[in-house]
This record gives sequence, C-alpha cells and structure tokens, in this order.
Amino acid sequence: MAKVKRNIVLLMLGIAAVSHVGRAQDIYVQPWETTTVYLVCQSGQVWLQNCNVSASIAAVEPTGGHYHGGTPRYGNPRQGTLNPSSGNTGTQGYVSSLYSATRIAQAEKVTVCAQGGGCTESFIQVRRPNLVEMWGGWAHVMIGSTSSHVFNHFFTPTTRDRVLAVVAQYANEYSGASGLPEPWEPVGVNDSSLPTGGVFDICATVSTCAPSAQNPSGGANPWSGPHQSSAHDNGDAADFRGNTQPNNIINDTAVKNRFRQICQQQGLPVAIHESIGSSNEHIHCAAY
Amino acid sequence: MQKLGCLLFIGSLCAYSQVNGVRAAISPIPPYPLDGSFRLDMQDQYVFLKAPGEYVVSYPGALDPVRRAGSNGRIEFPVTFPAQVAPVIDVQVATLENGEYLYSYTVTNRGIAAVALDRVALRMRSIEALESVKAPVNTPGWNFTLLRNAEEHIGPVWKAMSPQQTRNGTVQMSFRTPAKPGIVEMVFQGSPVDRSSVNDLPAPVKASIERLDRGTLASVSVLTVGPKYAPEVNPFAVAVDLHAQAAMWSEVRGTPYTLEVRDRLRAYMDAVAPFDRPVEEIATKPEVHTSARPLSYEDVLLQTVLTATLGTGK
Repeated sequence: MAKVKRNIVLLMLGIAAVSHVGRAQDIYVQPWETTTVYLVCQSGQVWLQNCNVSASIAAVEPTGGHYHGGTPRYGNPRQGTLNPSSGNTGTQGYVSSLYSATRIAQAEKVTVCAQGGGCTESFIQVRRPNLVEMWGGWAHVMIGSTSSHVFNHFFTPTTRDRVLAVVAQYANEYSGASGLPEPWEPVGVNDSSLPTGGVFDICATVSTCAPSAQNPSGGANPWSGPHQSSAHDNGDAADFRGNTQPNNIINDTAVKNRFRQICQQQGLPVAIHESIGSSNEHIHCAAY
Repeated sequence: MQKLGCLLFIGSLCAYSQVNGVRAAISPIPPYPLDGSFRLDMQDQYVFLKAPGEYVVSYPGALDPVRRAGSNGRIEFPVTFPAQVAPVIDVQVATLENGEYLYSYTVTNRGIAAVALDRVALRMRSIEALESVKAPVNTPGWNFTLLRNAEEHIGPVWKAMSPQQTRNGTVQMSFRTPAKPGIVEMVFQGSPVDRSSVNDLPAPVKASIERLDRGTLASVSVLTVGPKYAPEVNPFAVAVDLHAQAAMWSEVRGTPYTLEVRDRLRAYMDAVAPFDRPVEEIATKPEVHTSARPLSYEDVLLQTVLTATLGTGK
C-alpha cells in the first residue's frame, strides 16, 4: 500500500479546475461524401426570412495528418464545395446546399455570412472515422514516418488485427529458421493510412518521385497518389518492408512469396510484391 | 454565454460573431420551414430544428392512420437526442515515478442539458493505449468498461447505472497508463430518450429518428487531454501534432497564446525538417517558451501537453 502511494503522488502537471464550456460542434463527413446542409440567418433565437446568405470553404493547413501544403497538380480539388454557396432564405427561412467532399481528409473552415450582418466560422471535418493507430509489437516495428506524414499507421480495427496475425504467423514460421540468407527480425510495417484516412500523397513534397499514372510528370505532387489503392485511403492496407534494410522480410524470394501467402491466409487477399530490387521494395497487403 | 449556447445546441446552429444582431449559420439538420411549407427538398425529412436546440418530429398525417394531424395536416411533437447534454470537463494529468501517467477527470452535466448523462468515453486512437489502461476508478453508480469491437473503437467507457440521477450530476474518474498525453476527444452521450412511442411510428419516420440517434445527434465530442501517444513517441511527432491543433484553433479564434505556440512550433519544424525527412532521424526536441499566458480552455490543453509530454512550454 505504501508503495502504491509513493508511486502515485508525484508531479502534478495538469489542469486544475480548468473547464470546457463548449464551442461550435463540427460537421463530420467522410471523403467523397455528399451531404445536405442548411444556411440560415438568425437574430437571437429567431431565424430570418428573406435574408441573403453566402458561404465559403477553405482547407485548413496542416490538418488530416498532412503536414505540408501545396497546390493540387492532378486529381483532387483542394477542398470540398457547397452548391449553391449563396442564396436568399426566402419565406421558408433557409438555403439548402449540397456539400461535396473531396478525397482529401482534412479540416475545412466554413465561413457563412449574412448580408448586412455577421459571419460564422465553423469546421467541416472530412475524415474516415474509427481508424486506430498501430504501435510496435514483439513481431513488428513501425517504419516510414516522415515529416510530411508523421502518423502513417492507421487501420480499421479489423485490418489492424489481420496485420498483427500476419506478422505473428511470419514470426512463428521463420524466427530461428535455418538455411536462410539472413535471420528473422521483427518486420517493418510501413504506410497504412493517415489518422483520418483519405488520400495518402506520399509524393507531396518529394521532387524525386517517379512518374506514375496519377503523377505522369513525376516529382512533387500534393493531394494526389501515388498510393492509388483505395485501401490506403480507408485503413485497409499495409506495406511491409521488402528491401535490404533492417527489419525487412528475409531477403529470399521463397520467403517473400510465402509472406504474400500468409497475408492472403490472414484475410488480406490482395498481396503484391512491389518495387522489386529498389530501396522501396515492399509487399503490399490489403483487404481489397 | 455565446459559447455556452453553442454547446447546448449541439448539432444545430452556432455563431461566433454578429453585426446588428443578425448572424449567419450552417446546420446539418433541416430547419423547420418558417412559412410552414414543406417543399420538395423536405419531403423525406421528418426531424427538424424548430429553434436552436429544439428538435421536432413532423410528418404528413397521411402517413399515419393512428395519430391525429394538426391544423397544418401534419403530426408534430418534440423530440430529444442523446447529444443534448451539456458537459463540462476538469482534467488533471500527473506523471508517476514509474513513467506512467495518472489521468483524472471530473465531468459535470450542466443544468441546461436536455437529457441526463449516460455515457462518457475517451476516444483512444490506438488499441495498444486502450489495453494499457490500469487501475480505473470511477464514481459510484457508474460502471467502467473497455470498449473495443470491429465496428467501433472508442476506448475507456464509463456508463451510468442509473442515468436519470446524473442529469445535473458530477462524475469523477481516473486511470493510469504509460501512454503519453495528447489532445483527444471525450465523447458524451445522453440517456436514450424514451423511444417506446417511436416504435409504432411510420417506418420512414422511425428510420429518420434512428439515423440521427446513431449519427449526427448520437453524442457530443469535447477535446481534452488524454492518453494518445506511444511511450516511445518521437518529440517531433508530438510537436507536429500539436502544431496542427494550434493551427486549426488559430483559424477561428486564436488567442495570443495559441498563435504564439503555433508559430514557435512551426519555426521548430521548419528548422529541423525543412524538407521531407524520416522522423526517426530527428533527435532535436522543441523548446517552446511563450510570452503570452494561456487564457482559454484550448490554451491550457496546449500547455499541458507541451509540459507533460514534451517537457517544455513554460
């Protein structure tokens, strides 16, 4: 008992009697989702008829796990749209508007203004909900975090469990195995999804990125691929290290083929050996 | 007072500035038509915002042979949702000798709440953090559980055993974990409204209510400090995450403290990672010394994480 006390009463760092008293609740949508929202004018608790109202949307940087900026070159507009973005509230007292999200998960600031009145600023949060971050474990280490995408290991809970099953089975089959070119190591788990999903633009700021279908000129390309699989948008994929760096899959073709089979057996049927022979060699395992 | 109103009228209409008493707002819930005319775009809508914080079920009498329609030919009655709570959070974080953290919360459902508080949960962002929770303590009358399933993952949950008692009550809870402090969401849910009267509503009306019960009006999220990062997290990663939060707050009502923290973290990030580089290569820790004092709730959240997780921010 004495020991417990000693361990608990130490350095108090926290917030003493600091309370939250509320703020505007954000509107939540998923990437690519469209939803109807309503623009109104208000005086006190009363809504107003025949009031001109307008709205604008701007992406907030840096949010959504993208710690970079940049103008879209291919693929995605920078933020969602409201259609219409202005109108008169008429006798019914509102303007109905369709919000369309892009593929980018992020916070978007909505500014709504009443003609001759005040403006409201609030957020639309475009995000895939319920993704969970995977931490390192006995059979795997987390790799590939960069300063542009610091948190790159988010999964759906189901796919996270499947990835754990993959690395555990791989460890069970190869830990201590003889006759292979190198010993088993905990395997490096690289990109899955960003914290709130959406496009994972790994070439956002990398000028040396190779050309790809979404980035035909190559080079830096914010807000587009080349993680083109929608599984990387949704937390349903992972890339396992297949090059010669530490924490790779054992550098043996038969082992790598077996790793792909393990993915398939553990519920990640799309198992592709990619960028073979390059520093980016990896095995992509995904739910679809 | 304006902020308080925004909390109460969750999912409805909130505003921060106004001129001549008129302001604009955006709502995901359809407003009740002021002229009483339900146009084509409202034909499939059955729950409306009658006024900020006031929801009403309204549907054509022709849909329901049992109930009697009003003079406008519609059946209408008020309805409340689980999101109509009004929580206030106090939080403390203590660093323990063994490297763990003790997180302690006091939650009060203010008297202005429309429904009693039924469930309080921390939205943990990793299952590892969730599984590391130890020694939970809670107020009598509340039941602690760890919630985790394939569809939903929201972390430690405190569920009221007798929710009607907590309408204006206070709940205290604490636990230990090695997961480092960060800014996380605490999710509040009010007691399920008596839906026995909903069961015999016309199917599309019932479905509409249930959609809101499970979706937009299911709960309220409030940011607080909670277990977020792995014990071995790189300080650069924490700095980047905090910077993003400060940048977002700066967009709508940045205090001098939030703006200064944002700028100092940005300067640090630009200095140690001017180009995209592997985080594991970055060993320099941020030093954030501010001249501004924390004033708002958000300021104190920032300061707590700077201090508890990064050892800076004083």
